[in-house]
Amino acid sequence: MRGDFLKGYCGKILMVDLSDSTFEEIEIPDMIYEHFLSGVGLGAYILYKYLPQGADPLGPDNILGFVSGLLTGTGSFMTGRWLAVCKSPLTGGFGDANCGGTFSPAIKQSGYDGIFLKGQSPTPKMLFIDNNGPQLLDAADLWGLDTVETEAAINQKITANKKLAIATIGPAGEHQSLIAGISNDGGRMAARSGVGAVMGSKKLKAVVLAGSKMIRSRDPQTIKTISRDYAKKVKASNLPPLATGAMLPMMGKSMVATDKAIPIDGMLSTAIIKKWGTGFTNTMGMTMGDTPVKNWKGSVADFPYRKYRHMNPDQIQKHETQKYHCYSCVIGCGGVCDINGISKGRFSHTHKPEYETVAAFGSLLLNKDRDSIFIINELLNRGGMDSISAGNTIAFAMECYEKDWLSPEVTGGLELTWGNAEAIVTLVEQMIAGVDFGAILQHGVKKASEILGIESAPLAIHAGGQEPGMHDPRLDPILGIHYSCDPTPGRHTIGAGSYYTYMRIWEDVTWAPKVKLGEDKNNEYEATNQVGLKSMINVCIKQILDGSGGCFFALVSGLNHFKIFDYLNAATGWQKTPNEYMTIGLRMQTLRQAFNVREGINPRDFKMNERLSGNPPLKEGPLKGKHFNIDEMMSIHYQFMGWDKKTGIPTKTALSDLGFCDLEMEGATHG
Amino acid sequence: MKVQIYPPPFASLTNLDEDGMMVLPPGARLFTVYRRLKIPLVLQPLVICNVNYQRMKLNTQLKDGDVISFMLPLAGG
Repeated sequence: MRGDFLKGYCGKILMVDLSDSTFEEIEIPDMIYEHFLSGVGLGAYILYKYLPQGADPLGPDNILGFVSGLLTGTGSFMTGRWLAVCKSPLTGGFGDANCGGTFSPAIKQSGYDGIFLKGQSPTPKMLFIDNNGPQLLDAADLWGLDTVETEAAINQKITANKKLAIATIGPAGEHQSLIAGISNDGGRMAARSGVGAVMGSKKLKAVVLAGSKMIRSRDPQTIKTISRDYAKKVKASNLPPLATGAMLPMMGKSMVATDKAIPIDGMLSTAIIKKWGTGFTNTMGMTMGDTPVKNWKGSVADFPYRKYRHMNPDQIQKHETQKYHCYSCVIGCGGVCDINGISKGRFSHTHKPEYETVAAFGSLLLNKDRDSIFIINELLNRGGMDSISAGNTIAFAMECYEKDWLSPEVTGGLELTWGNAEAIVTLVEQMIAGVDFGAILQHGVKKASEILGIESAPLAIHAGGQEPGMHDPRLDPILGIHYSCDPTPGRHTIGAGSYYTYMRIWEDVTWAPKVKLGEDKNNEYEATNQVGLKSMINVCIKQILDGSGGCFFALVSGLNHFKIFDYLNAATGWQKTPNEYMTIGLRMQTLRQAFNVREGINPRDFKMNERLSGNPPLKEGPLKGKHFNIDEMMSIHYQFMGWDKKTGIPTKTALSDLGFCDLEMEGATHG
Repeated sequence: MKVQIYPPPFASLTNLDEDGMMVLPPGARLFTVYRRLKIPLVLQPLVICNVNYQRMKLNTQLKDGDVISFMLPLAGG
């Protein structure tokens, strides 16, 4: 680390060439951090600069990056997430996925803001970095192990002065399933974009970090003050003793009982996350209409209380033996569950299933068997596969089966009837192993639909090849904009009308419109300037968050509490205003979009399946009759991003205004 | 005096301006806010209400500029 680095970042990356086992440290100028922060922004910069145009995502030219956040390790709270970046084999465009745990600080403690790998090794390898520098070690004996077994084997094999931070792939990544993720901390997943397939294509089994270098920031005292204030508020936010999971469906109903916008204090939502983690949405989402049902064509009428009550988070908590926090987190949404009895001794424990997994393998498949979801959760974590994508893909297969487009002969005897838990578990195992009928589904819903025939395409729920998260845009249309317009489409954490309301960004950013008490929420079903502006603001702040290593739950607890702009200034010594940071966010997103355009992506092709915009509208449930014009919504979003309204390609004016020419990135202006 | 209210979704909004401010007589207590928001009795055990990010009793006396927050869960995962 350069001696003058008191800026929260290390100022350099490591580039590893797996083809010839060489290492190169690359110094990153301050200007790049000022333009793109770190995290996803630095990742996008490196990919744009070093990845050859048209690279095969599963070939040697692709670059896979493990990038920490700018704020990680600076003493700031809720900033311990790391990003995996690459050219996505699932979408063909910019791919990224993020995860918490302990891996993000370990990247910086190795002395780098990011670790990037190119080339392909002929034999399985693992990258090991400690204070003596990087080395590639043989990993042939690890190939074939699942993610939990791999971590255990590495911990047996390597002795270090500190606990190892390990990121690894499971069998799904090894055989390059396009919905494979990268696991750390015993089964936590950076799941999206097929990042695990890229790691598998490089024959890289694991990245193992044991460095202990200091991370220094400019003004640690201010960071400490902000952190202390945030922690104090989180500590004070607790549910009343009488609150139980049985009350959550009623709360869901109350939230959709009014069409009026009600700006809330997001801080108090941390109370519910502290108690149940993300699982509080398991049942509340059913009555709100947020949780998708039956491959997105059903409603709570198809999966009524007598079925969804089995997903009550209190029932899941009964198995919880331990709660845990990510690095620098003061909320602590994670948990470990004992499933020894459930799995008949096959697995001793699993991470507490996240809402996304419960919904993707519960209501989406009409599966009320909670025990099966625990087992599927552990299978996917160990196999290294994205639960959102896997659940959506099986839902597609079940709908095809319902229509008699699939017969038991094709499925290898599996009865893919809705809610058949036994068949679902078997299919998950097949997908992870890439065998039998699972071989057809292992690459996600778009590929499966291509294999099964063109008539199945309307049933394949995805955006640009990536399956959507378990939140319904028919409840929150701005969510649909981000499913369709983000350079990494189909993700639920980019933005939504509700997120906008929670984060109260108008208190920091002068041009952000205030959500007024009592505003009509139905206005968000129209492609108005207000919607375009909100969706653009969502994007910008999310890029800042992902550039900082920040947690989504901190963002929606409200920027009036999670003072990310003050954190960034204190860490770096910059004196930027929130408005200036928003320009950085816009630049980061525009670079990712420019990357996609350079790689031949037509942004309009990322439009989500029309079923998600209510075409045709649902006939029952809380979202009955809800619909919006997603094409118009995409147009208004592009316009506010400064991209061509028709094509979604960043305009030359926008690129010039954002300083791409000054960065010697003229290629970006060729869109 | 004026206090900032972050109401729950089922509240009556008639006593709030568009910024969520409520005008109260000097010396008003927290239960007055509950009453003006018309929070149903059946839901009161569910509601988390903090004053300046601290749990307070219903008879807590309020002062000008207090921030009164009611919890509303959000989606995620």
